[in-house]
Order: sequence, then structure tokens, then C-alpha cells
Amino acid sequence: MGMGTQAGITRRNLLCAGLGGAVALRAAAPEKSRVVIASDPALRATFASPESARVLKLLDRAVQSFYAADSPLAAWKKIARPNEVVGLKVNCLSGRGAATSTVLVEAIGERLQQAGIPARNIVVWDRLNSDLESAGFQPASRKDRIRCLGNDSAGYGMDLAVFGSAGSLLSNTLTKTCDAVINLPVLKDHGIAGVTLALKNVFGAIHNPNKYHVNAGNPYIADVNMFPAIRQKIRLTICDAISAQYEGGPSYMPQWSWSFNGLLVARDPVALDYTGWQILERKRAEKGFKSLRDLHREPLYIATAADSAHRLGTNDPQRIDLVKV
Amino acid sequence: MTLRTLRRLSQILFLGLFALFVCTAALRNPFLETDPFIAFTNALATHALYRGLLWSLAILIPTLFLGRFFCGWICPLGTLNHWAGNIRSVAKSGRRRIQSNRYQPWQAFKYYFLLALLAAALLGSAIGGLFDPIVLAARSLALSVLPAGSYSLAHAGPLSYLLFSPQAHFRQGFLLGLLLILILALNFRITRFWCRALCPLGALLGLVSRWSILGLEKNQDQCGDCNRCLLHCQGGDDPIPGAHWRKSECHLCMNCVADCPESGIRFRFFSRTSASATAPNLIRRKLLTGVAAGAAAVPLLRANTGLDAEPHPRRIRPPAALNERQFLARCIRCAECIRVCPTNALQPALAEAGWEGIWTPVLAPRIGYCEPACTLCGQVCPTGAIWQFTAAEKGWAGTAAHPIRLGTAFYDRGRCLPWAMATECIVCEEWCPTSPKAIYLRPAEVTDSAGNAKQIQQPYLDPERCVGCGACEFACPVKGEPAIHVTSVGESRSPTNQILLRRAPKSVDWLPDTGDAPGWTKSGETRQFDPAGLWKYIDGDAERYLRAGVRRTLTATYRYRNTVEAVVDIHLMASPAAARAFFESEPAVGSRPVPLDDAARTYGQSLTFRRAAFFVRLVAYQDTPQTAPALLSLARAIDSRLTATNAITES
Repeated sequence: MGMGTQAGITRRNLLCAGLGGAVALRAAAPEKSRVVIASDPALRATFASPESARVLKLLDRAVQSFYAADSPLAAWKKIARPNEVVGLKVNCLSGRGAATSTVLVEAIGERLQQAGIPARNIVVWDRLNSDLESAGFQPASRKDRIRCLGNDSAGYGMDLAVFGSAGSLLSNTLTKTCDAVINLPVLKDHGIAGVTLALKNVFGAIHNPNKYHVNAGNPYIADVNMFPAIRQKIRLTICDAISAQYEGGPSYMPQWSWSFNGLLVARDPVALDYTGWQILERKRAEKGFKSLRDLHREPLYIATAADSAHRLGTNDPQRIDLVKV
Repeated sequence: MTLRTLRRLSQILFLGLFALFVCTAALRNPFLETDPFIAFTNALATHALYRGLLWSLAILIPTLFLGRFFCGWICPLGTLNHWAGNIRSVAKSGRRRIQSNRYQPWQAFKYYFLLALLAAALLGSAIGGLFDPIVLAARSLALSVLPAGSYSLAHAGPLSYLLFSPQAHFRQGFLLGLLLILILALNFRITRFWCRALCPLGALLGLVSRWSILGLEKNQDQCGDCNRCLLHCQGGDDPIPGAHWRKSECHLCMNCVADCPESGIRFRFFSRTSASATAPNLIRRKLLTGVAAGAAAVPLLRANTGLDAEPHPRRIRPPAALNERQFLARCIRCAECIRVCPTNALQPALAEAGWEGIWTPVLAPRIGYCEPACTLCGQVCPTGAIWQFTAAEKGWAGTAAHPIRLGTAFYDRGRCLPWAMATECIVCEEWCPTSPKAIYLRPAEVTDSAGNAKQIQQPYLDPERCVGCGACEFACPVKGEPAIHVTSVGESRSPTNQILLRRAPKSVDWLPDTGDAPGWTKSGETRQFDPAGLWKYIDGDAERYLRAGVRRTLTATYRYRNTVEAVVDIHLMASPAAARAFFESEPAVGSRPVPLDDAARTYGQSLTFRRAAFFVRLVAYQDTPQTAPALLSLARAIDSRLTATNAITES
């Protein structure tokens, strides 16, 4: 009996079958996007500032859990290498009350330094120096310490970034100064876009954010996130949900704010936005407010960001690995 | 070293210097500043003691001693003519060359011409600047020769790296180049024809030189009548023996001295030669004709339209240009401002400024726009036709109450993409440099050609903010005729070229000062936002206010006895109904009404109320037992302020 007529399992067939199966399995079960919600109910009982040490512990818990690292420091070392310049994109437009907490930013700065990144390589930035000041940050440009820069002092580059319907100049801080960026939005409602979280927070990196609020920011918010410098440099999103706002945003409205006392951490901005949106919807329902869909400001840009033209992440709850710690 | 060699070196040096000033932006050209003809023209035209009169003494005083040394040793156009005249030509070969260098009666024409130009100046027109040799050389080099050189360099392969700036293009560059070539070509017929027959500066210096103490001495005994002294004579001043040497025509080129084989000619101070004519040979009737011609020219030019009647809409002058009459009395058409304009926006006028305004500068927005921070045109203007303004005075980047306006832009909605073709385009708004922007966008639902409804942003222009810089027209992507164009109407320099618009709304502050409310301190400056700039304060939420027709927003921060910090926003809406609708659109869940104005509610840590067309919001950062009553007292102080001002009736 010749080998050529033998109807059996050959080594080649076996390898092909195995490889094909592995590919099929991989396609069938894509990797889930992890979103960690870390909370500390005692963090901020009133509208007073949260305690630094508690925020640090909460932050460690969130980041360690997200990276499934052995220690917080090991987790922080995964974010950036010591020779990299790390930007902390805060959200300051609405001033104190609805801005990224200075206590949280200080905690992140401290941990980054412990992870080997020198203070001079950490840049806190947002659109305007006046915005930073109104949120409690002190603009500083000395290069021997943590810098704090508004785009109005750092300037915008001359190269137009274009994707879909969006065309913008990008902040020099993002394109020239920083190697990596940690996005630090706030969990809050947005009067036009529905919610403003990870995806919307990058509007602070472009020169013309006012152009992109038409049609509830859809598809502009997703398009802006497709700019290569934004997509490639944002390594992690830590959403400040210590104090959150479910109505009246993005301006600070204390009557519609509450102490969520938590942080949302994710690498997938779409998954984080979807998760945050659901938190806000639940709070709205609890307080007797209509849903964003009923108010015609459902954040459709989140779905756009997940579509095949963008693929910025997933908004499918089945594909979000939600971890609460 | 002979005097002729020295003269040649001087010519090279000064022509090089002149070229340097023409090539270098932001350097005032001292040749223009010291030009005596320009000085006299401007002094007469402006009826004022002109600064240039003082500088011109640097030329006039040496001329009193030396004669027309400027023409032979310094004048850049003279040097070019000199070199062109040295080129061999059939018309000047052999005996004809010598004959052409004899004095001719028509050389007196320049004096009559000078008088005509000065008479025109006396009547308020600096049109004489067109014919000044320094101006002519500067204008021709800057607008014609240099751009042509840039073009050549750009297409010269490896040499193109020498080109350090993009090539500029100027309207009439060809015509101006042709004129220079014509002037130089006349030298093939008669050496330095321009200088001998036409140059008004040469004529002025010729008149002054009659008192010069430097004179030509001819030694008749040594002369062999070879006529070599005439071979290279530049001025046609008859240095030959047997004829009167004409002091007012001599350029002191020293060629006759160097060419004389017998060394029979020399220059010396206080020479006692009797064979010289110190004054130009002028005829009174022709002098009067010259004056009459100049005096008649100005009314004739102004009988035309273009100045007072039917000014051209594209007569857009550079920033800080004087009003048109004063401008024409000062502008000498030197093209310095045109040359230094970094965006190539300034162009020599042809018909835009009437006949009198030919080659004066006008802005051509389709070619370039006026850069907000640029002040170069004012820096280099030698006569003050454009005063030396600063960027702050220009006031385009900041919030100057009275920015310099060049004109106003107008939309052609039949060509504008969002208006006419349901196509997204916000280029003009992007380019608008004013702060806040004069061009703003409004979302609109339109139907495209396929019948699909779509939401786009349509541009509008606020003429109160438009400064007429032309950036919108320059950047408009609609080729051919742009969809937005700038005209001179609304220019700051003219009180009459205006459309009926209310400029610069009256500054108001509806926010209380420290002490107006017990315990409250105003801890920050009042910031004011108009609708177009509201997004800078409340990005994302601004549209909600815009939809409600907000007209103006004022905000400031306050502190209450070091325990409560608060921010106050006052929004002036389009109408009391709009304020009411906005107030009622905010959820009342968790609030309670308070007795204040038309309607008010407090949420404890925040308070909102409306009064007439005002919607007011107070937000505290601290939630203390004192917060709610303190906010209420501050709200009452605001209410008093709003009542006290006449803003409500204004609105």
C-alpha cells in the first residue's frame, strides 16, 4: 500500500488543522476589554476634598487590578518606561467641582515617579492655562519639576490631522512633548454629547473643539480619537469618579453631583465610556431624570467609535470584562 | 587712486547698500528718508514741517559745497544709468557720441517738470514721488527685478537653494520692469537721458548746486581740442574749452578729468574760471507753464471718480494708513510697504485708487491677507503715510476696543458651499484671526441635491468684529470669485466710508463689587463672552445657551468670609421670554423657590434666577450652613445692579 493513497492523519494535516482551529477559536472568542471600577465608599462623604492617602490606596488598587500585577509599583511600571515623557491629560474646563481632582493627579504623579519616571518627564496639561488654574492646578513650565501646561502656552502644531469629518491641529504637548499620555477625564453628564468621558476628553488636545459639537458630537468625537497621535499615545484612561455629575454638565452643577467615590480604569476608551454612561443613566433613573435617549442626547458617538470604520474599542457589554474592586 | 576710481567705488558701495535695503525686510531705506525731493514734496503736500526735511540736509548741505555729487556718486538709478550708458551703441558711436554729450536745451525740461510736481504737491498730492529716482529704483527693483530673480533662482536647479523666501508676485510687475528697461535703454541713444532731462531730484540738486564752491577749471592753453572730455561726460555739462561749463548739470563723475590727455581739466574749490554758467538756463514763460501744469493736474485728477465720489470698493489700504486725502499727500509710491508685506497681500494699485492713486498700496486679499501681528508696512513707510503702529494698536489678536479696520467682509451666499451647496466648509471661520472671531457658525438643517436632510454649519459674519484683514477671502476654497470678499467699507481711517452699524458695544459690568453684598469679596476679574466665544468658557454646554439666544455672558468669582467660594454667571438672553424658557428648561428636582425677581430657585449649593432677559446662576464650591443664605444675599446684590443699570431697557 502506497503512502499516497493512505487515508489517514498526516503530520501536515494535523498541524494545519490545529493552526486553523486556533485561529478560529481566537476569532470566535476575542479578547475582552477590561474596565476596573475601584471604589472606596468612605473616600469622600461630603463635598470636602478627598484624603490624599485614601486616594492613593484607591488608585493603587485600581491600577494593580487592571494590570493584574503583583504590586502597585509593578503595575505602574507597565504604563511607561523611565525615559519617556508622560502627559496627564486632565479635564479642567469646568473649573473646580467638575474637574479632574488635584489630589488624584498628585497621587498619579507620585506613583509615576516611584516607577522611575523623573518629575521633569511628567506633564499635566489641558487646553488653557486659565482652565488649569480654575481647577486648582498651577501652570508651571520649569523643566526640573512636574510641568503644568495649557495648550495656549505650548501651542499647536502646523500639521493638520484629518480623519473622517474631523480636521484639527494638535497640541504640541501631545505631539512633541509627550511620549505617552494617561487620560484623566471626569465622570459627568454633557449637555450636548450626552456624557463626557475618555473619548470626549481628547477635545482638549485639538485647536477647534467648538466645531465638533454638532449632532451630539457624532461622529466627530470618534473621528478625533482616530488621529494617530491621540490613538497611539494614550496608554491608559483613569476616569475620576470621586465626584460625578449626572445632569447639567459639563459645567459644575453641585445640585446634580454626587460622591461616587471611585475610579474607572481602562485601556479601551470605548468600553470605559460605555461603562461610565451606564453608571450615569442608572443615577439619572434613580433621581427621577429622563434617560439621555429620551432627551435626544444619547451618546451615539460611543457606538461610532466601536464601528468597523473606527475600531477604537468595544461597546458590547458581553465583551467588556468589568472588574469591581 | 584717481577721483574716477573713487567715484566708481562709491557707486558700487551705494548701489550695494541700496540693494541691501531693498532686499531686507523691516529696514527703513535711508535713501528714501534723506531724499530732498521727497522731503520738499511731503512738506508742501502736508503743509507741515516734515521730518524728512531735516534728514535731507545730509544731501543738500554737501550739494551746496560740491554740486550734484549725489547724482554721480550715490544715486542708485544714476549708477544703473551710468553703466547702461557705457554700453556701446550705434547711436552713440564716433562723432555722434561726442555730440550727444554736449549740453542740449531740452535738459532744462527737468526744472519745469520739478516745478510742476512741486506745484502739485502744494495742492496736496505727492504724485511727484512717482518720478523720484530713488523711489523709481526701489519700486522697480522690489516689484519687478527681485521677483523675476526669485523666479529664475527657483527654476535654476541646484541654485534654487539660494532662494530663501517664496517668490512674490505683483500686479503690474511686468509694466514696472518694462519702464525701468525703457529708462535704461534710453541711454543707448543719449547717455543718462533720464538724469539729464527728467529727473526731478537731479533738477532740485541742480538748482541748489548753483552756490557750490567746487568748480571746474579748464586750462585753455593745454587743450588740443581732442574732445575726449566729452566722451564719457555724464551730465552733458560741456566741460570742453570754448563753451560754458554748466555747474547745475555736472554730476562730478570726474571722467573729463581722467580722460583729458593734457591734464588740462581739474576741479577745485573757489575756482575762478569765467567760462561757467552757474544757474540753469530757464525761460520764465516755461517756468510758469510748468507751475500751471502741475497746479492743473491735481484738480483734473480729482475731477475723476475714485477719491471722494465712487471710491473703489477694493481700495483697501494697509493698516494704519492715513485717511485717503492725507494718504495721497504722503504716499510717494515707493512700494516699501508692498515689498515687506510677508503675505504678498499689498499690491500696487492700478485703477483701485483712481488715477492719482496709481501704484499706491492696496490689499489684494485673494493674493494674501494682513497678518494680525505684522506691523512691517508701518515700520518701513518713509513718509508716515502709514504711521508706525504696534500690534497692540492694531488690536486684532486681543480684545482692543478700537482695532484698526481695513474694511469689512461680505458673504456671497450663492457661492458659499454650506449656503449654496449643502456642503460642509468652515475654512473662513477657521482662518478668521480676530478674538473673538468675526465669523461664527450656526448649525442648520439643509437638504442636499439627493433630497437628504443633513445638519451642517453655516457661516455668518459679525461686521462689528470684522477688521477686513482678508484672511477669509484668501483661504476661501471656492476658486474663481470667492464666496466671501472684503471691501473697504468700515475702514477705521474714514469717518464716511461706513455702513450703519453699531461698533464696539458699550462695556457694562452687571456684577457687584466687593462690599455690595455683605461678607462677599469679588476675587476675580469680570470675564465677558459674546455668543461666538462662549465655547471658550463653557465648551460643550455653550450650544444650550446659544439656542436660547444668549447675547452676552459675564462671569466672576467671589469669596464669602473665607468660607465659601462661588462663581457667578450672568447671561443676557435675546428676550425675557427666552430667559424664562431657559430657566424653566432646567430640572427643578431637589430645588425650592426663593423670593427673588421674576423667578428663582435654590438648590442649597447653587441658585438660579431670572430677571427680564437675564438668566443668572450662582454656584458655590463649599456646602456649609452659610452657603444658601450667603448665595441669596449675593443674588440680591446682583439684582440691584441689574436694576440700576439701564441694561434691561437696552436689551
